[in-house]
Amino acid sequence: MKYVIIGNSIAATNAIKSIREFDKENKIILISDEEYINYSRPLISYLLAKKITKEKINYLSTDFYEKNKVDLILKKKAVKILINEKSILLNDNTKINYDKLLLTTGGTPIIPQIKGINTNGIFNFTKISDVEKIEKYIKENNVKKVSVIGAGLIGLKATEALLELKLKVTIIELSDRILASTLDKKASAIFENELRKNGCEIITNTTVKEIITENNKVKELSLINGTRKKTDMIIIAIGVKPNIELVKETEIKINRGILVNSKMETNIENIYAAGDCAEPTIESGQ
Amino acid sequence: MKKIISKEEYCIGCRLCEIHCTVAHTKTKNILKVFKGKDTKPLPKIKFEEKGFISFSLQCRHCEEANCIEACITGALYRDEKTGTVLWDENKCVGCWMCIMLCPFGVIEPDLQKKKISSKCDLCINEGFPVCVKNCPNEALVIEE
Repeated sequence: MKYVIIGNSIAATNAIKSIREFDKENKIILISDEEYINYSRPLISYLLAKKITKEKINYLSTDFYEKNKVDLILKKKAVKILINEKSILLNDNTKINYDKLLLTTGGTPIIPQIKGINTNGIFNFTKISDVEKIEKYIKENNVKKVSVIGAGLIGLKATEALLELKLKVTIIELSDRILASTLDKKASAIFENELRKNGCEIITNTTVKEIITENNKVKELSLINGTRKKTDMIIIAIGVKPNIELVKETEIKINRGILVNSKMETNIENIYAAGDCAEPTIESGQ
Repeated sequence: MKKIISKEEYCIGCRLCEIHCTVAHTKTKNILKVFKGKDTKPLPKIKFEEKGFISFSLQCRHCEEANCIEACITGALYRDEKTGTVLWDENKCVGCWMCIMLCPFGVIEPDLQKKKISSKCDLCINEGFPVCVKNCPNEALVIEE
């Protein structure tokens, strides 16, 4: 028996722990395109705010993979699932066989297709590499004003870090309040007041129509309510979508995410999915 | 697994458990030095509650399914594999306080000065035996295996 897991965040870690509760011996291979071992994603805001160092972002003890007999394949991307051969093709053309395959490819940030989106100074905020890019851009371009598009948890975590760096932050949110899917109006208002006290500007009921650029860099935002907002940098945090690139041209059934039953099985035997990339079916009762 | 049981019918509200807990978690473990401020004074890892004639003290229950471990974003809260005790690594804690939000017993307290958490009972792992149980004058705190 050989287990292969693609992706290395919390769903993968929990899968390793669960497998090892029942099977202490058989091989587990883990493939990740990132260069780091599993780190805590919510902590990237603390990393950007320089409250913690990169060493402290690791969620697991350094010997976790060794102790659980996991072979790590880092900095390599799985590009194809060969269902008939029961193997995975990596971007360096190596093939890895599996008996049981788990897809934990997570989510990809949604990028709105608006004018000016491909310019410099626009970032997501979900990975360590995003923090590195943001830090570099702030330093090189003397960034003072940042616009955060989307006031969900990721947007607010980014805001928290940027305020800590003494930058002027403007949140732009399409709904009538921040954290609209988590909190009611009263609770949102408490958080909004607190943010405003810390110098954050919040614009609700609108979103970005166009990004105005200068020298291939972000310069200004044109909002659908007709106003304009000067900005040096943009963080896009309007949500994530399941990362299903890998299964798109296979027989594995998808909707928005990879469809799974209550055992997290896909429609193909021995292939499972979990985490942000998976979508429960009605039969799964979720 | 060891668990501290609180018997409210025996508790006389003397709060010695809090004092001994505080002292046990200092460097010197010397009550006078702690009292005079010559050693750091950690917050007690016990929650003492009192209303009218009823009083009791409560520590971490070291839940089998621990919400605090599930919610911890840094891995600072973890389970000791040998003893099953829920432990806390201060160096890893960033003070997001999600554990405080989720603890069903309300026994984790924020440490506002350090911006971390403070009251996380470790069953006196360094002492060998919980000092609150050892020093309870009326056996209102007992240990169960």
